[in-house]
Amino acid sequence: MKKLITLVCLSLLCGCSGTDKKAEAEATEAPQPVYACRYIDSYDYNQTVPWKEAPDDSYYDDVLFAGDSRMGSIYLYGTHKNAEVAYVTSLNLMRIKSMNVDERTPEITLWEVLDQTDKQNIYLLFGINEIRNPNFDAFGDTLREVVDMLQKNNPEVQIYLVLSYHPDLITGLPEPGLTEHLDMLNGKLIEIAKEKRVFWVNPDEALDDDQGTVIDDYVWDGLHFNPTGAKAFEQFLAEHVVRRDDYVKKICE
Amino acid sequence: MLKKFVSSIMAVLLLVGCGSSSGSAKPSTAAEQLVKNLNLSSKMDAMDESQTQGLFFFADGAVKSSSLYLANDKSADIVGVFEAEDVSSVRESVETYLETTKLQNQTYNPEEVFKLDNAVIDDNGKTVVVVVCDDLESAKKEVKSVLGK
Repeated sequence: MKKLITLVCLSLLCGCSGTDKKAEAEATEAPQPVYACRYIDSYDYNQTVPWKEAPDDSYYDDVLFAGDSRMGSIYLYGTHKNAEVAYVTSLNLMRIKSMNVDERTPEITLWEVLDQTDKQNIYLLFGINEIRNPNFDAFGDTLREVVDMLQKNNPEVQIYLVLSYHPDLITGLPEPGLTEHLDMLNGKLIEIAKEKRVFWVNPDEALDDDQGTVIDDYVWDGLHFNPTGAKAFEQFLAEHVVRRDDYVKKICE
Repeated sequence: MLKKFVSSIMAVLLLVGCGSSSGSAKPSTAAEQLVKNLNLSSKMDAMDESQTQGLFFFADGAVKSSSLYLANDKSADIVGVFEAEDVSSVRESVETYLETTKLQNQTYNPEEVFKLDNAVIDDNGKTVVVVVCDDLESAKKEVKSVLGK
């Protein structure tokens, strides 16, 4: 009898043990929960970049300012010497692949600089040399090509299209023609910014006088910044930086 | 008899050959010839069709085919050959380009203004040619040559 009871107990124990192993196996084989993660970009590309406190100087380690002679003021008078500046005097965007960057040795075109850059924050200021154009269609197509190339080379790149501030005068283009052409140009820049989901900033917000043109004390010829103007321009850009973390969230479900 | 026949054929071929090398050459061939003969090869880059349109803003359908070279330095040098459907419209666009470029250069490169003021623009009723360069006298001769004048 004792033997029988012992055998029953052992078989129970074995049964329990077998059940545990099976459960263990089931637990091992059970599908793990799968999380699909995606990035949600809540930034409103329809709006100009909002004001934000300026970043510290280390931000400029990863900045490239590129453009026409107006960007040259940053090269000449800018205070963030760790930023890279590439500008071409009298640049027409149609010639971005053939015109060499000012003050660079060996010679290199602006297109090549942009194609080769690994900077994360790129500011583009183009269009004043095309301001007499009857339309900005070809300009827009070329700018799209520039943005596409930058985004292809680095999908995480942050591009800022800088609208053209209103100069005091442009030779051969009196008012109201100048304002009309600036509106066309800046309209095209905003259109491209929305389409390509890149940032745009409007220096007129901070650099204009009550006439709606750039403050006289900021420019030496009605268009190009002097040291005071360059500092104001630089400060405006510094206070309109987008922190990706503020808008892009990783959501896993 | 045979000699006369061969000579006649050769004369005709030569005449036809001469005719096709001046005045009716393709814009790309003519522009290339101008760039080479004016010793501009080292400083000129060819522009594509969309770049050309983005600089000259030709009216729709005014240009059948074109070839454009622009200086890759700060100079205003240019060689353009435009096979035109509407010669007067093309000439107008070219003149507007030169005027706009002049205004721009007055600020940045005033030494280029003289060249722009004296740009060579000519046509033969089918093709419009524009050249801006230092050697204006040679440019005039070369332009006449490619236009078959």
